[in-house]
Order: sequence, then structure tokens, then C-alpha cells
Amino acid sequence: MRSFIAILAITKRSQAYIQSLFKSKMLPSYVVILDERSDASKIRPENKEIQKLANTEYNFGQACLHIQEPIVETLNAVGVPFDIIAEPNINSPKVVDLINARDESHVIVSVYGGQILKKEILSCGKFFIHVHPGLLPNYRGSTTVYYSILNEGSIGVTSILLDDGIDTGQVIYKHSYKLNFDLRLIDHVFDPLIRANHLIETIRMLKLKNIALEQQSDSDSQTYYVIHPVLKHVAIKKGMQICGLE
Amino acid sequence: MTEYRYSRQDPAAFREFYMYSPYEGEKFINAYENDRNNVCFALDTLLGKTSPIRHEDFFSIDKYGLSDVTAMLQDYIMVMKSNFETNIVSSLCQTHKKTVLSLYNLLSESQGSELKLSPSINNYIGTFERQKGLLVKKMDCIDPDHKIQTIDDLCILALSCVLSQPSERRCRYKSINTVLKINDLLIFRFRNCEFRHPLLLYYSIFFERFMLFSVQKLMSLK
Repeated sequence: MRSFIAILAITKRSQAYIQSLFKSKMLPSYVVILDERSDASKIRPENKEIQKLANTEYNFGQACLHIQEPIVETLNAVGVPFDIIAEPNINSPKVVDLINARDESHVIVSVYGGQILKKEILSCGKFFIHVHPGLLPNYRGSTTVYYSILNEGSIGVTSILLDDGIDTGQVIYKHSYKLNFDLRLIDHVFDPLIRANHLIETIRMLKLKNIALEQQSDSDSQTYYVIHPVLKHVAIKKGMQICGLE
Repeated sequence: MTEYRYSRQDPAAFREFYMYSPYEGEKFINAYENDRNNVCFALDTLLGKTSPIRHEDFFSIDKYGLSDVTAMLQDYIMVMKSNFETNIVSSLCQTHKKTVLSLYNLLSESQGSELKLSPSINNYIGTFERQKGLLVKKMDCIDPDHKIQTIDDLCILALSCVLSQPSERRCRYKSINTVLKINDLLIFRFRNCEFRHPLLLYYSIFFERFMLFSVQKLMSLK
């Protein structure tokens, strides 16, 4: 992989990706921003819970996140060209057209949850890289980060090449991370950061080595669904206990 | 004051009902326990002498030994199967009848051994997660006396009963997750709609509490 582009929704994960890629000097050559609102540059932290986190810069491994810095601001500062598409869906014909017009072979994907790539975008002939917060194939589906804490006492992350299934693509690289941070901030801060850190490792590996991709075995797979708030609290409490913060 | 809202609003009416739930610490767990306690009190009062669990024992789960819980689970399965037997009516369409019979078989099969999430159970979990019901809902289906809704509630409770059995370590949390959501939905219906299975709901909540207590004890969180 020589150069790559990115498709980013307006999320904290995308912010962590772009800020961390900049920090690691691995910037994409072009970015498509998916935003149903019309002016992405105006987006600021949206609620009190997040406002409390806004003034701190968070770090995890090689990744960093400053919530108050919107994606557009980072891209403008570092001079990466981008287009904003005023809709949330990666399968939009406008996105397909923009991607088709590019020469890069790899696309980093950080879009809103629950979207599956359709054949139109998959037939662009690119490799779409996604970082999933769970070890695959054991932890497919939603909020697997919490099930991983409950079952394993750690957080597994897997980078895959997206296909037309949910978390079923070929595995590029997977790794388990120790719990050594404030678990109460996992949704808004550490899930994005851990995935950004894993993304950097993945890109580094793709740039340096000839990676042997691994097919997932369906017989080992388990699909999880959005975690119930009570179980989420139990997971956070367990995580805090492991970290020695409780 | 923190309120447990997940059984006060209709989980079937919101697409991302449980997504991005905030972390609220111990006060949230207390609110959840109070909410379950209140509904158990109401169910206990309604059931009177037929109540299988004394309400005051409900939150002293540690009093229950393994043999008590096993016996109670057997009663739960027996009551569930008996409800099914009286509800497998000829008026059900073939698809609904197939679902009901399949759940009945799951109840019969899974007794005594450690629960594994078979493809069939996983399919029911997925269906419940997506549509908050197990029977296919047809837009043109007229259900004036809530017969299909009542049987759908019974099917959901049967799934909860299957998932309440001791399970393999790696599927334990997936099972608890679905049981919690089933109980939220049915408590909402008990409070706001016509609901005809108070005894089964009472069992379902008991086993939710027991499963949660067991995992927290295992993690030394209790």
C-alpha cells in the first residue's frame, strides 16, 4: 500500500483517526466526509457529557484525540483535500463516484454504525479497511467492546477488509489491549482511541510487509447485539476493578 | 433523581433504544433495582397465593441454593410448557404455529444440560433484537382480541426461559442481555397494555436477577 484515502462520518472515531494519522505522519491523500448536516465546519461538541471532555487531549499508544477539534479543522490545517457529502450513507452514488475517480488502492472506512457495503461501492476495485472493536470472528456485531471486557477482561480489536457481510471480511491484524484507562470514558474517548491506534499499526503493517490475510471461520463466530445499559454498567465496573480504579 | 427509563418507554417504538446509553454509575443500578422491585411487588400482589416467589425474597437471591434454583427452573419450564399447550390453537397460521412448536421443542430439549447457543436459539435472539417479537407481524393482520400479541408475548417469554438455563461461559452475557431486554419490553406491556402472563413474567424477572447476581458474584462485584 503506497497511499490511501478515507471515508469519514462526523464521529469521534473519525476525529481520532485523522488526528492520530497526522501525529504518525500517515495522512490520507484525500477524504470524503459523510455528514447529513450541511456544514461540517460548524460542528462542535454536542452535549454536556461530551463538553466536559472537550478541553483535554486524550492519548492511547500512538493515538490522540482532542474532541474540540472538528475533522474539517484538522484536514484544513494539514492540507488534505476533502469533499463533504450531505448524507450519511457510504453507499450513496455520490460517494461511489468520488471513490471511482481516485487511483489509491486502499480506503479507510469510519462510518455510522450498521452500514453494509453494497455491490456498487465494492465493485470500485478498492480495499476497504475497517477497524472493529472485537476479536473476530468471536465478537461480531454491536458494542462488542463491552462483551469482550466481560468475557476476557481485555479489549480485542481487529482490522478487516470489508465485504458485503457484517464483520465477516478477511482479517488483516488483530490484537488484545489491556484495560489501563478510565472505562467510564470508553464510548466517547477510548473506543475511538484504541481503534485509531490499531489503525496506525494496520497501515504500518500494510506499508511494510506482505500481509497474509486470514479468512474468518463461521463456526467460531458469535454475533452480539447492543449491550443493555445494566450489563454495560457491570462491564464498566469490572473494567474499573481490573484497572485498579475501583 | 436517576430514573430507570427502559421499562417505562416502549422499546419497540424506538429504533436505537439501547444505543449510546450513558454511564451513570451506582445510582443507575439502584434505579434499575427499584424499578424491578416495584414491578415484582405489583406482580406478587396480582398473583396472590399463586405467586411462586415471596416478594420479600426477591432481592435476597443469595438465600437461594443451587437446588432451590434448579427446582424453580423446572417449575418455570413446566408452567411455560403448559401455557404453550393451551395456546397452540388451530387458528394460528402455519408460520406462527411453526415458531410456537419450535420454541416448545427448545424448552423440552434443553433441560438438564449446559445451554449452548444453537443456530436456532441464535436466530430467535436475532429476530427478537430486530423486531422485538418472534411472530411475523403482517400489516394486514387484524388482531382485535390481542390473540397474536398474547402468543407473541408467550413466545418471547419462552425464549427468556430457554436463556435462563445455566449456559456456557462464552454465551452467558449474550443470554443475560436478551433476557434483560425481554423483561423491559414485557414490563412496559404489563404496565401499559393488555398483558396476560404475569406468572411467567415473574419467573422471568427472578431468573434475570439470579443470572445477574451470579455473574457479579463471579466477578467479585457483589
